[in-house]
Order: sequence, then C-alpha cells, then structure tokens
Amino acid sequence: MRKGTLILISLLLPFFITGCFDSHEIGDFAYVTAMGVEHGISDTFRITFQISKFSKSSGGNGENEGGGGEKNEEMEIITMDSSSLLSAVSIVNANISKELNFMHLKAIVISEELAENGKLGECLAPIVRYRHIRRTTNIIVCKGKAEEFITALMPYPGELITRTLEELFEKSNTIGYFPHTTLNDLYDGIKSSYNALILTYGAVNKEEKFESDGEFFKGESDVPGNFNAGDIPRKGGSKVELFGSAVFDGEKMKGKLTGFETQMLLLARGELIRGPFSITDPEKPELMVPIDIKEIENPEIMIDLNEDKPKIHVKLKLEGDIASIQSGINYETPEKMTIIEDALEQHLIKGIEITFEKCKEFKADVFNFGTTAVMQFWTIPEWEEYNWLGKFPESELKVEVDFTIRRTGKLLKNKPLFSLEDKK
Amino acid sequence: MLKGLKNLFVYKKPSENGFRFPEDPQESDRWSSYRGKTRNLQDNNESDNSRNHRNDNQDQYNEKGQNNKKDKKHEAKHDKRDKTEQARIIKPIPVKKLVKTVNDEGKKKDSTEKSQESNNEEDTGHKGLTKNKDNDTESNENQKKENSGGSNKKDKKGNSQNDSPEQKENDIKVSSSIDENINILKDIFHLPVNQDVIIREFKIAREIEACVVFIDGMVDKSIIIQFTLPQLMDPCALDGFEGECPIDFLEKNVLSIHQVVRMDNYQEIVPQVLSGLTVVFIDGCDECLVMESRGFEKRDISVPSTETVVNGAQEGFTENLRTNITLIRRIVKNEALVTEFKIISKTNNIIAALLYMEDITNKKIVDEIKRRVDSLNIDYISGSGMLEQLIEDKSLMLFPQVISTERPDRVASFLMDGKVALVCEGTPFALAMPITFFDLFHTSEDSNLRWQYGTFLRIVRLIGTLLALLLPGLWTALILFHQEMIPTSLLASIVISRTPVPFPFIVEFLLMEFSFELIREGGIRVPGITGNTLGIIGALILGQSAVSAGLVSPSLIIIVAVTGLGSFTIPNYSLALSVRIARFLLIGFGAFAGLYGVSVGFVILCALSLGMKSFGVPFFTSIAPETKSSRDKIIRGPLHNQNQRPDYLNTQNEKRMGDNPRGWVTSKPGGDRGNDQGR
Repeated sequence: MRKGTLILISLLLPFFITGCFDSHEIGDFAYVTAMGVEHGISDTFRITFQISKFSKSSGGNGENEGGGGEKNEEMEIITMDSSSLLSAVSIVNANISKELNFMHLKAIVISEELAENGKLGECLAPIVRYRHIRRTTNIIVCKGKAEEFITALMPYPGELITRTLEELFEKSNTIGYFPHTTLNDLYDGIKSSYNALILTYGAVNKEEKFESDGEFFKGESDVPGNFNAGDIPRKGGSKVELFGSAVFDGEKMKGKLTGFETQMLLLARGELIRGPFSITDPEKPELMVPIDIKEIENPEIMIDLNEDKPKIHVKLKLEGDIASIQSGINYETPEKMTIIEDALEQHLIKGIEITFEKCKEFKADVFNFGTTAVMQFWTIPEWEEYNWLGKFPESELKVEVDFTIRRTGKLLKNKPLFSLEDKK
Repeated sequence: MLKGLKNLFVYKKPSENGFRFPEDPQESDRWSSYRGKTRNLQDNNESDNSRNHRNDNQDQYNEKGQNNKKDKKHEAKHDKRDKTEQARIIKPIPVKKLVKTVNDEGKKKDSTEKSQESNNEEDTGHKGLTKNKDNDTESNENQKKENSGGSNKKDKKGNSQNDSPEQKENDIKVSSSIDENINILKDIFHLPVNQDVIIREFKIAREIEACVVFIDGMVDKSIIIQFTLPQLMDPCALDGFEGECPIDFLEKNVLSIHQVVRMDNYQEIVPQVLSGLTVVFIDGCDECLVMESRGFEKRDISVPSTETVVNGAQEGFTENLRTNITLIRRIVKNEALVTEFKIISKTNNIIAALLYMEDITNKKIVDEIKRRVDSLNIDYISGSGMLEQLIEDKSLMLFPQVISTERPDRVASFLMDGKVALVCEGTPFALAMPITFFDLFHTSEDSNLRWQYGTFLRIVRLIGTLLALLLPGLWTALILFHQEMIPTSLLASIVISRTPVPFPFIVEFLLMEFSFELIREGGIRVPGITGNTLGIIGALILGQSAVSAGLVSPSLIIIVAVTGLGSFTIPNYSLALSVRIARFLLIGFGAFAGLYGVSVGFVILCALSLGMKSFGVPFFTSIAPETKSSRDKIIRGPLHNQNQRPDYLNTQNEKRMGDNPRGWVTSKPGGDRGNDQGR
C-alpha cells in the first residue's frame, strides 16, 4: 500500500511542475492570417495585419442565417506604424478585445522597397525566435505597397483565406512559376555561405497590361510566362497574383526572375516535380507545342573546383507527354519524335543558361550549387576561405538534358486538316 | 556495464522468473490424487488420516459424477425445459466445522495442510496471493479459538453473534424420538410464527410415527403428494421389514425419489430444507432422509440481453443455478468437466458452483479460487456480482479482474481454455477467471465468424475503445492548449460555433458529457418501454435544443456522440464502465496540462493496468509480459492455426488441437493426421 502510494505520488508529481497558464479559450484569439511589412511614415516599419473574422459563410453552417448565399470571408485589416513587429503586436492587442495569434499565419508580405534597401535582417529575421510564428509561414515580396497587397488578398469565394493561400503555394511544385519560400528559407538564405535567398514575387494586378481594344497580335510569341507578377495580361479572378521570384544577395534584393526563369531555376534545382512547357514548333516556328514534363530523377550536379573558375555540370533526366500539337504535324511517329525531344532539350538548356547568366549578374547562387560544392571541403574554415559566393559569378555552366517522350496524348496519329482551299 | 544494463531491461520469460507454478513432489502427488484415473488405486492402500479424508472427498466426487450422469440422461429425456428442478443434494462443508473437527479429533489435517500449502505457494513467488496471506492465517487462528471454546475476546472480526446459534446447531444431532425432532425443528424454524415451513406428521404403514418437513413454494408438490406420502402411508409399506429403524429399508425399497440422502446433523439438514429439499423424520431413527424436491418458480431461458451477437448461440443464463450449469454442460459434454458446489454466504446460504476441466485446468488456479471462496465470511451475497467483488485481487483497481458473462458458450470456451468458472445462484451471469484484457475485449462472435470478419470487428472495437478513452481528453487539450494543431478550416468552424456559447470550454464539455451519462443512466432506470426511446429522443432533443439555446456548440456534440458510440462498442459492461470513468480523468488531465497532461494520464493508466493481476495473471499478458499465443489478441488468425491454449494459464494440456486439425488437408510428408492429445 505504501509502495503504491509512493508510485502514485511520483506519477502525479509531473503535474506540480506545470500549470494551466497556457490554457486559452479558443475564441479568445484573433487569428492573423497574413501580415505585411514595409517602410513606415511615422515610424520605421508599417505593419499590416489581416485578421480573419471566421464569418458564418466561410466555415460553419449558418443555420440561423437561413442560408443567405455564399459570402466572402470577412476580413479585418489593421495597419500601424511601429519600430518593430512585436511592439506593433502589443499595441494592437491593447486596442482590440482579442489577442493576436500567429499560429495560423500563412503569409508574410514584404514590400519590394524594403527588400531592396536590405532591411530583411532587421525586420523579419528576428521573429524566427518568436514562438507563435511558424517557420513554415510563406514569405512573399510584393510590388508596391504591402498594405495594398494585403487588402487585395481575398480568398477564393466560399473558402478560407488560409486554405486559398495553402493551395496557391502548392502550385509551386506543379507549375513552378514561383518558388515556395518560407520563413525558414529566408533565415537560412540570409545567413548561409553557400546559397542565396530567393523569395516568391507577388503583386496586385491592376489590369494595366490587359488591353480590351486594339490591333490583333501579329508578332512572335514570347516563351510562356516570361514576365513578372503585376504584368500578366489578364482580367478578373483574384486581384493578387504570385509570379516570378525576387533574388537576394544577403538581405538585399538584387533583381527579379520572370516566371519562365523561375521555372528553369526550379527545374535545375530539382524542385519542379512536373510542369507544362511550351516550345516553338521546330517545323512551323509561329506555332507552339505544349509538353507536360516530369523530372524522373534528381538533377546530377558535378562541380569542378580545381581550376580558377568553378565549372558546373548539370545533368537533367526528364520525360513527358505531348499535350497538343498546334501544327498538326505527325510528331508521334518514332522518327519525328526525336525532333521534338531535341527541340525541347535545346529549349531547356537555353532557358537554364539564360537564367544562370542572370543570376551571375545578381551575384546570387540561387541554384544552390553551393550545397554540392561544399561537399568537397573538409572543414568550414577551408570552405569560408574559398569564398564560394564570391567565386560564383565567375563560374561556368554546362547543362545536359535527357528528355524522352513517354506518351503522345490521346491521339495516336494526326490527320491533316481538311480544307477546300488547300485542295485548290 | 552495458551487459548489466541490458540484463536490467531484457524481459525474462515467465518460466525463468518463477511465474510458472512450482511443482514440488508433495504437491504433484496431491494433484495426481485429484485425478480420476489414479484415484481408485490409492484408495485401497492409503491408511493415514489425511488420505482418509481425501477419500471422503473423492467418494463425494464419485457420487456427484454419478449424479451428473443421471442428470444428463434426465436432461436428454426432458429436452423441453419443464419447470421442475433437477438438482442434487449438496453436502456443505462449512469452514467452521472443518476447523472444529481438527481440534476435536486431531483429524482432517487436510484443511491445515491446505492453508500451509497456500502459504508455501506465496513464498515461492506466486505474488498474486501474498496479500491474503496474513488475513487468512489470522482468521484461521481466530476460528480455532472460537471453536475450541476459548475466549472470544481476540475475535477481531466481531461476528461472534452470528457464530453462537450455529454452534448450537452443530451440537444438535437428529434424535431418535420424533417428538423431540419436531420440537427442535419448531425451535429452529420459529414455528408456529413462521408459516412457510410445513411439518406434516403421519404414520408410515399405520405403524411408525413420521413427519415430512419442507418449505411451501420451494418444493415440487407432486413429489410429496405422488411419490412420498402415498408410498410411505401405504399399509403394506413395511412388508418384509424387521427391526428397529426402518430408514434403510424405506430408502432402498419404498421411496421412489431419484435422489435421497441420509443425514443426522441439523447443521446439514437445515440448509437443505431452506433450499427446497424435503426431509423425512422417522420415529426411532437417529437419521433422517433428505429428498430432492426442488420445484420453485423460475424464469425461462431467454436471449442474453447484455451480450447480443448476430452469429452465434442465442441462449443466456438465468437466475437458476441448475439451469445454468446444464446450459454449460450441454456445450461441454465431457466427463472431465467437474462441478463443485459451495455455500458462499453464511446467512442466506447462496450456493455457487465451481466448474473446471479436470484434465486441462491448472490445479493451482482451482485451489486458489477454492481457497478464496471457502474463506468468505459474509452474511449475504446476492449473486455473482457480489461474489466477484469479494474474490478479486485488488478492489481499488479501475478495471475488472474477473469476467462476468451471460453467455454459456463463452463460459464453455473459457473452460476449454483452462480457466475456471464460478456460477452463482441468483444472477444470470457466470464468472470466469483468471482473465486478461483480451478476454474482456473479445466476443463469442469473433470466433464464430471467419477470421477476416472477426479481425475486422475487433479492429473496429479497438478503435471504438481508444476513441471512447482518449478522444474527449485529446479534444480538450487541443482546444485549450494547442490551437495551432487544429487545421485552420476546422478551427474556423469551432470558433464560429462557439461564439454564442457563454461558458468556458471545459464547463461546456463536462456539461455535455454529464448529460450524456444522464441519458444512459436514465435510459436504464426508466421503467418499461420508455427506456428504449428515452435514449434516442433524449439525445436528439438535448443536443438539438442545447445548440439552439446556445449552451453548447455543435462540434462538441459530435465529439460526445462519437465517444458514446465508442464506449458502446466495448463488449464487456465492466470494462465499458471503467473506460467511461477513465475518460473523465483524462479530460481533467487534458484541461490541466494539455497534451502533456493527457499523455501523463495515459501513462498512469497504462502503468496501473499493466501492474494489475487477475489471480496472478498480469492484465495485459501475451503483450506485456509477452507469452506464447496463437494469434488471438487483436488480429485473429484462422481457426485451425489457433492450436494452443493460453500460455499464461499453464494448463495440463497445452495443445488445443492436433498437428493437422483439418485432416482432409494433406499434411506435410511424414506428418501425422492429428494428435489425440488435443480435444
């Protein structure tokens, strides 16, 4: 009996070292879903909080509402100037009845100016320490004002904003027009000595590029996706768009990669699992052949550091399906299939090389070649002495792509178009 | 060092650890004397006192064995269950009497031997018994002192008032004078105030004074009216008789009753009268005839209401002991099934039957259960529920340590596994022991169905059990401490549904859980047909209106409902109740310290239940400690692969079936087509 009591006491003992201090009612919080940071006017930073009100239409079923149709999730937006993020949080907490909670924060938006002036280290990196913010929170660099971006950031009708953002960022792996970057990447990228930081680039589309009237397009099409967020010629849908990427050297933003370049970058990094590519038809250059590409093996990267300039050799192994052939030429036949394969290989090699040259200009190793190069060093001082990031702009790249067509889509054979004019 | 550490953590097999019962020669000798096969050989040769006593017992066994056979035949004839009792006469051997005779005559070493033996067992590491050791010897000593006429001052139990009338009865033998006997009977049964007991005086063959004593309502009147009185009162009844006492003559030649026993001591006679037997006193004889005549009203066999199955037998126990044993015996048609009767309570004389397979069950278990049952010193036991509480290992423990079942087929399978069953008068439940968690978790349907279905049902049940136990605690922890772990869209709906609720979460949750318990308890207590509907209506109305009144949130009702459903899947009522209680503990832990609290609570629960034992068998045997088993825990293997009896029971016959139980399947080359060891 005495033994039993002792055991019981020792089992209950763990409870005396704790308490229910962390216990909170679930409704006591204001859940911040997105947060914007930019240069402030009356203080260093202007911080914007987007708080989801979890209105009836978004989550639960409003049985007393009588089903008044689908409304968008209601948001509350609070903007304030402050010297740091945490001081802003406490001031806002003092003014609203609930406590700001960052556990469900999905995106932090940084304005382009702030990034270009190299304030990331001061503003964002320290909050990695903050317990409420997850390291998986997505980071976006936005064109223009962050406040504007946050205000325009609305969920897909009937959905929660967090879900919309989650699903949007998933696209990075399957389309690859923008990278999926998190707070952890940001912190890592700023401090790392073997790769540079790259962040998602976003903007509010003001529909400036979309011209409703004018002459029909006559020129040659550019590579699809070769522009940045804010420049997409589209209308309707979400006001906010994510496209392309912002490249950093340290904490300073150096430039932007377009959507296509980002795609090439992710392909070379092995992060694009599958994605659509369009090449110009080798026999009819004005038409396109869209192909779905799958990266079947991780890219093989070899780096030769023996010479003055680092020599980088990248080998990609891809396969894909033909999505459509605008020209109607029978590329399905084994003889002609190689034409398409060669064309795509060349297309990709060229694309990667262009992107690489651009990054060399920015002096930013966003390809993460440094992570491969570092394996050749035994100690960290040796590596730091070598100064990879300094040598990167001088490096040379050789890309090899091995592409095979797996399936030709639902058509086995293309029959030529029938037209009376042609017959004559 | 490392090796030493390793030794600390490596689990030693039970057999190495002394878990297996030691078999010293003295004991094994004793065991073999239990066995029917060697019994007769020894009978003739042994002359020492203890052997004599054992022979007495064995004669009893033999007698019972014969009776059993009679019963079987009888049963076969009367397949439609008529209401007449087919029982036998039980010779009770109360503890007091045994001890007294030890002192008086220096005989019956057996009982003392027994207690010593049980002490030995304890010393040799049978830990499950050690707790009772002190109490037991103490009570033995007490009883000795009481009976030897010594001072009652040391009687710590304070039951001397119960003992004194018994002692008086002890001394009273049947007198050869009928008048004196009638006076004694009137004294004992408080006649004429007590009007239940009937003493019918008559003359045997118009010559000898005699009387029958019985209790109205307990006896089958036709036995007295048709088969006792007419034959005794027949003028020619004593034709061919010469001598003083006709009792032997009457028993052998006149009375055509299937069970008649001669007794001469009121202490034996009175309980028989009380349980519905008829006693014939004859002038000039210092013995009387006790005739089987039980015939009280009883309930018919019906479908077991607490353990329903889809596929399987649909018979449940009744309140009647004889019927229940018959139900079991009808499934286990084997001469090795032994039934021992014991009177377990002192004042209301409830009879319990101890059933076991003579050639399978480990005798140590039987002895231990007998020791516990025999040592009971209690006035009133109403049935198996009370008996269970009196013989279980630890009364503080939350989980049941004895399984109580309403199904004869389950009892039969327990018996065939080598467990011991206790069937008690008064409740339609039988007890089986020792048990593990898995016995409580299984149903008879699991083995009736094909193994895939059985396994599926068990997995469903396991998930249900875990949900019932953990879901409320985990939910509390999530809501109060770990909002970041809830997916945002779920969080949104919880936040929205909780907006109108005025209470803190924990109040809301406990309110709802408690209301659910109210519905369950109310549904059982409410009389008649209302009970069935109360549950559904109550839950619907309560849930719906609580939500619209803004007292609880709809998401919570789902949690409470799922928890409730989960606890309904637990097949054993006691286990379900303990899970229901443990659930509240875990809610408390969760509300106090979040997931940390729930895990600490769960660890405590696991530690307690792992340390728990049922008659020396750890509760989670075959997982911890790991023992041999033929895949019958959660996943059930095909029936023909389950060739072993539970390892932890250390049965005399470990194999349940031959090497190739399905003889039609060609076995391995050279393999035999079955093993006659298995039954």
